[in-house]
Amino acid sequence: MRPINLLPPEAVRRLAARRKVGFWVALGLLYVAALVMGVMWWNTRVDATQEALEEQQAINAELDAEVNALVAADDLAAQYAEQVLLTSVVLAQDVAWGRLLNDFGRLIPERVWLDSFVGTSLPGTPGLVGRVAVAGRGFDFRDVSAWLRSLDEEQFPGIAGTWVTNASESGSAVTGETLINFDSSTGLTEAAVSSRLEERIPVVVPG
Amino acid sequence: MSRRVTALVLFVILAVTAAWWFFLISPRNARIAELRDDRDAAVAEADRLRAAIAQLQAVQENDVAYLAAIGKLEAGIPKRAELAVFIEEVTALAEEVGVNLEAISPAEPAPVQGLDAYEIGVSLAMTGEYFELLGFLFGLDDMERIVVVDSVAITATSAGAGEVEETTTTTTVAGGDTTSTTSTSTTTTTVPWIEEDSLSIALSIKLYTRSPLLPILTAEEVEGEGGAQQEGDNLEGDAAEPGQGIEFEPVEGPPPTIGEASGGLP
Repeated sequence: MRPINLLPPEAVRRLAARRKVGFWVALGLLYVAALVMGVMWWNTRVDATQEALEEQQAINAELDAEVNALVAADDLAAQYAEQVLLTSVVLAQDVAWGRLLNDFGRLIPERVWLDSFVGTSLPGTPGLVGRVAVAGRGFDFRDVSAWLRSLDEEQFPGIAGTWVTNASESGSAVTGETLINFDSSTGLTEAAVSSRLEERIPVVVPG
Repeated sequence: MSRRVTALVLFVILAVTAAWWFFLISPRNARIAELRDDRDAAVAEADRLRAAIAQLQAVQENDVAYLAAIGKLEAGIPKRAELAVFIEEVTALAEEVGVNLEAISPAEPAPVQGLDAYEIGVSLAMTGEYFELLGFLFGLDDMERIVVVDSVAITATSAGAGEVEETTTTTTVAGGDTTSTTSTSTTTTTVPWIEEDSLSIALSIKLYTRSPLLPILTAEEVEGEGGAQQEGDNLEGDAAEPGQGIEFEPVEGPPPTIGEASGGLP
């Protein structure tokens, strides 16, 4: 059966318009509510993060207090570290002169002897820890060559760049024989550094 | 609803949503990111503090070992110059290894750049044999105090030139004759001979100390010390408690002349 609307058509239109407005207003309100809810949710996130931070800060304060309670140990450790640093700097390029001279004595060729030896440490020079200059004598020029070979870097670690700046003939006052006087210099590398730094620093905490 | 109204409504919704995001949510997101960064930093700090606590607890447990280590290191670089001790030690070492120590020339402590320490340059002159010198150098290395050898200069002593007596025996046999003549001649030659102490050795070494020769006081310390010195401080410059030290009574009248002052005890 076909429904019969007895209301006048204006009233029906007004009712429809009111419903439409109501619908849009409700939708608008929902939209605004969603926005407000969103803001509130973000606020809870901010609060939660803030809370986590405060919790961590409280833990840190406790840890700080623990560190402060260990101030005596801290002073002790600082004193030790300072002394270690000082010793390390002082002995960083300490040349083992005793060992070096011992090696010189061992490796010097049979027919060569030295009149003078001047060794100088050169702290702060990159690649070099010192220099050695010697004045020596041999019986002929082959002995000068033997001297250079004896200071070869491969068999004498710690020595580099051995050079002879002058080799000249002269007569011996004792025997009257002809001798060769020579001047030589060489550089000292890191291998000439002593092991005193490792030996001098006592390790107190293993690892 | 007309299309224009729909478009307008959509535009308004978009605009409001954008404004909501930029003015309300974005600042909160930024705040959350900031708080998270702070928390991460705090967590890292906590880890650092925990590691520090573990380390300090280890130090506390091993405090005796630390004190011993500091003592050993301080013996290497003492707080005071302790030159007298060094001279005694170096003399004893020279006697022990057999070198003849001829001169010790210590310089005053000079500050080391970049370090809270002072270095004392010492020149040593001695004579001795090669192996005695080696013993001396190894002995310096083994000293409780750190001695760094800066330079070593060794020369064979030619100043000790002396005379050598050479005896030559000549035997002459004349032809088939069985008689022979023997003549002995002695010649004296001057040679750069090598004495028992054959090497002249010059060492340049460095010692280290933690304090200068004279105390360097800060302005505040000087102000503090000033009062104490008026009260009568000792010559060492150590801080004296008020009332400590020698107190002088003021003398009235003109100051005494030299003759009077050196007139002996009253």
